[in-house]
Amino acid sequence: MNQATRILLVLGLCLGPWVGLGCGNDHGGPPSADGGAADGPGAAGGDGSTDLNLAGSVLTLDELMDPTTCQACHPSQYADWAGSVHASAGDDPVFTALNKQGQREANLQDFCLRCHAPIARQLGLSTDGSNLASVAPKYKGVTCYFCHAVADVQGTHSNPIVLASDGVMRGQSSDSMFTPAHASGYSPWIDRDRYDSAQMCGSCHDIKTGAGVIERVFYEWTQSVFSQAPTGATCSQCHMNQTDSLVAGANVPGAPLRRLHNHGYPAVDVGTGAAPSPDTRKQQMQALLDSTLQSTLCVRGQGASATIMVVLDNVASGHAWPSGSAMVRRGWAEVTAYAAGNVIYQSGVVPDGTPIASLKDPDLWIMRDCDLDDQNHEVPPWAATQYESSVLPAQLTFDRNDPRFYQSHVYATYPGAPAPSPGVDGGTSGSASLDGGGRDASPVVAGLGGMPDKVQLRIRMEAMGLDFIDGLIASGDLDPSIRAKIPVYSVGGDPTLVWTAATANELFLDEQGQPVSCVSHTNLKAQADKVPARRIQHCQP
Amino acid sequence: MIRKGLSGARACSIALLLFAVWGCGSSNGSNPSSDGGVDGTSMAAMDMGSMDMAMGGMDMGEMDMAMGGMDMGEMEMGPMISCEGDPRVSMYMDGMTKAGLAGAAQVKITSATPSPPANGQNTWTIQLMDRTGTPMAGAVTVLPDMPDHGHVSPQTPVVTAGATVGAYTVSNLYLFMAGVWRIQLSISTGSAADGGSLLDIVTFYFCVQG
Repeated sequence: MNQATRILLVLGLCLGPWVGLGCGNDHGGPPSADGGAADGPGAAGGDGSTDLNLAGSVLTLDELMDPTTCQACHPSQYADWAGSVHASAGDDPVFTALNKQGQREANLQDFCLRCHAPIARQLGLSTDGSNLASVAPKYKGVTCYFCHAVADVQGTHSNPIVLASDGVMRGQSSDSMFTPAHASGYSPWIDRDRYDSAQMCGSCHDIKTGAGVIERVFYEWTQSVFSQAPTGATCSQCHMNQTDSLVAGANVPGAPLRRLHNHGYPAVDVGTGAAPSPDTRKQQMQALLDSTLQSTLCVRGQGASATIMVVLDNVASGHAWPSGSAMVRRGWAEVTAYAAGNVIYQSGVVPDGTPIASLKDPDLWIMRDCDLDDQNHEVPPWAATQYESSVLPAQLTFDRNDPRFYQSHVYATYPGAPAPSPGVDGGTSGSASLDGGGRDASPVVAGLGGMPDKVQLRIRMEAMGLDFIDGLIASGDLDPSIRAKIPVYSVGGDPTLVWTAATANELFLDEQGQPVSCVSHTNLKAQADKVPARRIQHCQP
Repeated sequence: MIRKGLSGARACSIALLLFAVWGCGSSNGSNPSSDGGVDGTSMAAMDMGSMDMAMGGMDMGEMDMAMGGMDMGEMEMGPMISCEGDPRVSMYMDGMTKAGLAGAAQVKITSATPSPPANGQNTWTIQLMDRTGTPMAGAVTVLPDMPDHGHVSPQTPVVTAGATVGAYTVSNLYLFMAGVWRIQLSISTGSAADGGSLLDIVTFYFCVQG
């Protein structure tokens, strides 16, 4: 034990009664790797780590790495986190299955561990993730320590994070209180109001595999207006909503009052933790998703030549839509037109439980990334030599006088016009071109064959494409019971919009002099400039 | 575990001294450097990318534990992304009052839940007054939007008349993301169905934290 540690111990002993020595270690000792009492001073963990036990007054690095240690003083943050995908990142069955497949097919080694079990990788407890089931929980997933010990971020993707090993737990507050449990300090990497914090999140939420893609979230954000100071928004400002009132930041006497941030990180995927309930987490995600898009639903023309137009504007996500692992997400528009109560047209309609990607529908507007090989066959990201994308782009500017403002206003017409030649994107990091594969560039389309009196729009998303899940089940890598747990969302209300002559609230004549009648719950105007939807050419039946 | 020869009183003196230096010395946003630590320990770093320095073999017992060993003054930080300093926004206070563009009406926010207005569902109680501050009745519609982003809230606020003249509750005021929100209250002499006409528009700007 060095001088610093000894004096720290003394400090803790003297101030212990005031601060709650050991931060609530009522069981008489700091938690060990398995959550029980520590074995004793200097005990080496069975997993190879070396534990410096200081009789409950000072937390060792190994103890700091254990989220259950944090739980004693930060129960609220722990509870949020325990139900998050960060907590289950190392155990998630889909991750486990995909890693298994990747190791078998491409010998990925530690590639996935970098973000799914970074501490286990760092400690040498796993080299390829195949043994993660036997690694202690504290070393798996994106843990408290992994984020709150970040000392530097030296790149933009695939985890270039440098962790400090100084025992200082970093946070957003510059007035952190003294605690004998650990040293505390401010870090811009954790400051949700700084660009740096997005860079820190983005380092794992941007994953490339050579020419293929897994996630491009950070890149998408950097290209959007939301990365611009001061009017943008960081990852944490949307995905770590803060409490309305000031509450103690830690469960110790005298803890400063803070606005606590949701460490459940609602987005799209649901973690495997027991609490909060999956329904609660799904509700949080639903609320976030519901406000990401603006939409308008129009009927153009009259009689048998009438057509339908849907305009979507990814106005609030700050990245593409869908994003995250967009190669496995499936967003789509479901359109149903009625006349006198009968369905006269539909697109994107599948029974519950049926993969949208299996639908043979020439008009389907599906939003996703797709990794491809040289022959334009869909392949896993590690085998990709190119990719195509039909995700909705993020907003590029807030200036309505800038033409780029309208590039996030994306439309599709129904029935769709014939598709032009495929426009597949190559390259390793760029987003797909706006006009690549745009099928609706031609305004000449067939009509619905009748004038609808009601049209319904549902914007839907499979958090993970059921076709992708079925593939993992078929290969024997994934438990079939997982399929039923994959969330399928209806976004922005269910249905999102219903057009009738009575609900229409925007009427105009288009360039061809055709009447256009639209309904929207927002101020998105169908008449404004817009760009045709990008269409996936090679990943549909 | 206490070093022999270090008396309790002396130890506590050291502790209090350390507390003053260590625990309270970061109010300016910087943090005590390693020089402020007891033995000048420096921050060790682990390179997650290259895995140059695996911790599995480290002897924690011999490992220096830096105490707040970060010097933020030497660190180049990225820009702030926050609406807190936006000149358009007001700091919320119960009873804050704004006059309308036409000078015909005023609106006082008597209470807001949550306070200050925050991300998510909000409910306000308001008092509608004429130019002299006398409570007045009227038809109130509320439009929340983000003027920079160019979008409104997807949910329509609900205005309910209170028990006294000019008192209203605005519910379902859904401010769904961080940034500058503009809340426009349109005051009419009566509903459009009653042949009422627009009297004034009162606008509030708030910075909503994420």
